[in-house]
Amino acid sequence: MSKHSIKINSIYCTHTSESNITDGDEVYLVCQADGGIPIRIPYGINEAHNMEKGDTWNLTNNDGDSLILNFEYEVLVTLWDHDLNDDPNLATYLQSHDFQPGSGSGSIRLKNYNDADYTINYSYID
Amino acid sequence: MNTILKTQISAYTEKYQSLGTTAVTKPKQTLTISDTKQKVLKQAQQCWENYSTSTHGAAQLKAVTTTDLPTTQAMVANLINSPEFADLKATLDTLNIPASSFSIGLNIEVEFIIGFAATIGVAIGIGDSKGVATSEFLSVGITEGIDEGGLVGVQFGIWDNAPSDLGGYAWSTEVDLGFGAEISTAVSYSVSGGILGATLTIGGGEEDGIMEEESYTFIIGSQEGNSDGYLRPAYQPQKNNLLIVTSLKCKHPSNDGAGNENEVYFTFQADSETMYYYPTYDYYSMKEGDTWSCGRSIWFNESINIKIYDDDGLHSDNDLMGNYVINLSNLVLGETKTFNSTKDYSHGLDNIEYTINVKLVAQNAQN
Repeated sequence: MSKHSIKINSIYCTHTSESNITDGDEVYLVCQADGGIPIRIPYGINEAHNMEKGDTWNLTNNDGDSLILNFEYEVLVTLWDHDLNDDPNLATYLQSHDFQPGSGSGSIRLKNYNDADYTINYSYID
Repeated sequence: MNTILKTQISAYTEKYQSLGTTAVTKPKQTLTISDTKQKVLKQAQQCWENYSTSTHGAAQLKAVTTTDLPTTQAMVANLINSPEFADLKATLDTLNIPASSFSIGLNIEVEFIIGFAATIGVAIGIGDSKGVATSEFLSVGITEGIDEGGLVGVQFGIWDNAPSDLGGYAWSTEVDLGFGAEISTAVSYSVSGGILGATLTIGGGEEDGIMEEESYTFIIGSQEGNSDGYLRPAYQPQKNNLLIVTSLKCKHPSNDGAGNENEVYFTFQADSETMYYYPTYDYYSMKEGDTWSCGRSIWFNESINIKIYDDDGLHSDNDLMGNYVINLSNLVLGETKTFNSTKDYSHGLDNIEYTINVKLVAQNAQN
């Protein structure tokens, strides 16, 4: 029973993680509404979006439409860096944000000690 | 339906769904099952009948409705050692064939919006692989028409591959060998069209026409080490109450000799059921005074146990930095409360202290 919706517009990379080691981060999102079945963006087990410093990733769902997440209580959005094919045990956790009911548009800046610095831009729909 | 097992299987159905579709090449070889394989499957069928109708066999199968995935795996791995399977084991030991496998798996049906059929199994080496190779696997595929879910039957397989090479996509086509009602025999082939093996499935219902099914097999563990690893669940079945661990604060880190930060992750277990990790894999680094706005929602009925660890790659209990017990009676709807560790994990000069903030966001959600 979803009562609320939020649109994840884009993700901006101020700084990638593990600077100078790899050529950018291979970013993917896992979105889990109300503890239910997680959705991976982009779809496909080894798919990710390469991001380098200054890049903006305009998000779409797996049908190419705007990424709208429906939830009743909360939706947890986790950013991962995809390091190695086929083994989620080796994925790197970048950061996460839990969206609860709200209104308007805004941005959330997420950083970690591995130099990752990303901003999620969002708009509440209802 | 056993919710612990269902939740653990969900990690594999999620991954299977995210694999997307695959192009299939129909096998060039004729889909037949050799006489040798038919004899092995026939013997397996007889052994299963003896086992499943025996007192201890029926009790073990009944227990699958309450156990978790590792316990079910261990039970399946032990099946071949049951006295009812002695004849089959003797036959398998004497097969003079190239490196191959024989598998036993329990078929479980689960529903996550759509229905999935999962096989929790073990494969043992036969022929040239005899005694040197085993693997534990979990196969998943989409199925239709689930009634209640749960344990629906057993699948035996005799494969041309060694136990550690059974992973990946497979297609199977039913081949009628006249084994009887409630029993289906099939040939499995890989996406490249090579024949993988033959299976015999007991239980799970009859369907009309020739059945063609796609499945994906994850190797959870194998003696050769090339496994997909154990996937951790994230999906939580809905319960009465929902809280959010809004944040975790490091008042003083543990000094593990590796810099002044901890590699933090936590486990949570609601009502003594499935244990989950957050982050699901990996960790978040924290220094003294840091707050991690982790935002982890947790469904529960009565209580939740949260344990915070410092990941030094060893995953031992020595890395435990905090233990938190949260009861519904400690919480008020819409309010955030701070919890301290129920035990002091400081030792020597290490004044470890982490606190967690918890907000109850739904109460009696199922009523």
